[in-house]
Amino acid sequence: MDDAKVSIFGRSVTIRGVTLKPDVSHPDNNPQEVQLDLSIDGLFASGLNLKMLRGDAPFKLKTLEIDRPLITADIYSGKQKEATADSSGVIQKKPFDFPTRRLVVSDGNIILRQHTGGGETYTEADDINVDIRERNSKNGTGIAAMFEGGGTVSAIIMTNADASVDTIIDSLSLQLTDGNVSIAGVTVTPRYPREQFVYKSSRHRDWTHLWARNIEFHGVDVSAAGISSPAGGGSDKKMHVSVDSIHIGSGLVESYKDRNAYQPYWVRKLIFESVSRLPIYLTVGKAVVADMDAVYSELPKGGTTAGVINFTKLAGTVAGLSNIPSSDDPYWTLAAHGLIYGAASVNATFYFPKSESTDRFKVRGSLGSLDLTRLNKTITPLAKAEVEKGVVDKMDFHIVGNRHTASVDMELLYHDLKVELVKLKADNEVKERKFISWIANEFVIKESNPSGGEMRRGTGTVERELDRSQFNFLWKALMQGIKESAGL
Amino acid sequence: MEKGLKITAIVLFLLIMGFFVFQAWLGHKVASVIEEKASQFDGGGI
Repeated sequence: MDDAKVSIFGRSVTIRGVTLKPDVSHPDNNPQEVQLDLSIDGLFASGLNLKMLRGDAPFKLKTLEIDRPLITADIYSGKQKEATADSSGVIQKKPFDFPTRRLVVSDGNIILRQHTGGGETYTEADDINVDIRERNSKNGTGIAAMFEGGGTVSAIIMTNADASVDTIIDSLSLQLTDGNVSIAGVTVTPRYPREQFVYKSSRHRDWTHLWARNIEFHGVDVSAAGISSPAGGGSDKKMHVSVDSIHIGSGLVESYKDRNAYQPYWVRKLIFESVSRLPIYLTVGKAVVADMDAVYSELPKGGTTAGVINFTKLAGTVAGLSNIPSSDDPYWTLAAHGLIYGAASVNATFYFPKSESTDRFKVRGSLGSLDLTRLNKTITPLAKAEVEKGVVDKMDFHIVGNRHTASVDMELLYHDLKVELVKLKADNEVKERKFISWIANEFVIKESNPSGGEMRRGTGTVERELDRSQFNFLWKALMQGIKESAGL
Repeated sequence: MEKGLKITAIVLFLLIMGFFVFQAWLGHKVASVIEEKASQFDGGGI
């Protein structure tokens, strides 16, 4: 400590140049728990009152000002698990005990390293500036009712345990008074090229790159005291995070799958299961994505060229997202529309259950007019087929499913369909398999729907492969409808 | 002559039936190939 000043009459303490480091050689300091290094340029505390104030806090400061704190913490897996269990879990007996009526932090920095069996996750928060005050009159137990003020963080940088993916949150701003949070951008960037990622990352996940800009949350509130499930079970109190609305200005998601790579088996959660199984209650009134693009590439087994599907100008609205069961309104919805292959309009509305006790979901969707030759950049590398000609006039589908199966009812109208089954030569040159193509066009695939005055509906039920993606499940259901509509 | 016509008719019938059976079998094989190719699509991690 460089300098300390205590004013008894002013009931204040000023400290300059504090450095705190644990003595790891001391037998009481177990390096397998938490190590904390702290340095502060200046600390000013006023309104010291060591008497017990109302509530449970042993003491309360009027103001705590911290200038340029640098906190470096190393957390080891055992302790971290306990901390996670405490914060997520679930039963909260009392609201926050905040040790000061006003907290001011200037130019703070935090570095957090969480050491797990699989490596070290790294989190860094830069240029933290905070001015938070307790409200004089509290009219609730949520954070918005108890505190006012806010803060900014210029950047949060996170690296996952095997150092394969960096996540950067750029320019975060928080206003407690209105519950507003804004983020200039979020970027998730893999550290390896997409062709190498699945082999080099320790969990062998698919390569995914994404960014989103101009993200705004309005009416954010956290009720630390928790609420009980309206569906009963009064003792099951959980923390409740509520958001009135979320707006994402623009974004991009790119994903690459290499089917040649080994990937360990694990059962994937469906989207709604990830929400309904959260350890907290979450409600989001409305979330809007204004303009997003998505590109999915897949390299087939033994292939050298990836098939590509791209969606552009995607806009979507999530309404009534919640994991609080409601008998009046049991579903939250995701309605999205955009362009597939930059040409055909695609619409889909998903109905997902709020309650964990049910797994029934529904999807209603449609596809506008599409020149089917646009599919060739997907199906030629992946299915060794080419569309020579053909036009989809329209497609409407309805899927009802659960965790294990999905049933589809589809109306797919198309005309002039002619396909070629092909071989891909070593130099990626496409060579038609003429005899099989002739069989396929003459005897297997119907040229049009309707044909001969009869319209074929695509119906059927498919089983989900639990280790494959939500998109795969949806594709299997759609494929069943397409197959029946094409006469297969 | 009449016997020869009958045999020819039977052979033609069998050939036509055989062609339809072969066509159905081939169609089924090609449909299976197309279906198998389409079902291999993974969809990635989303």
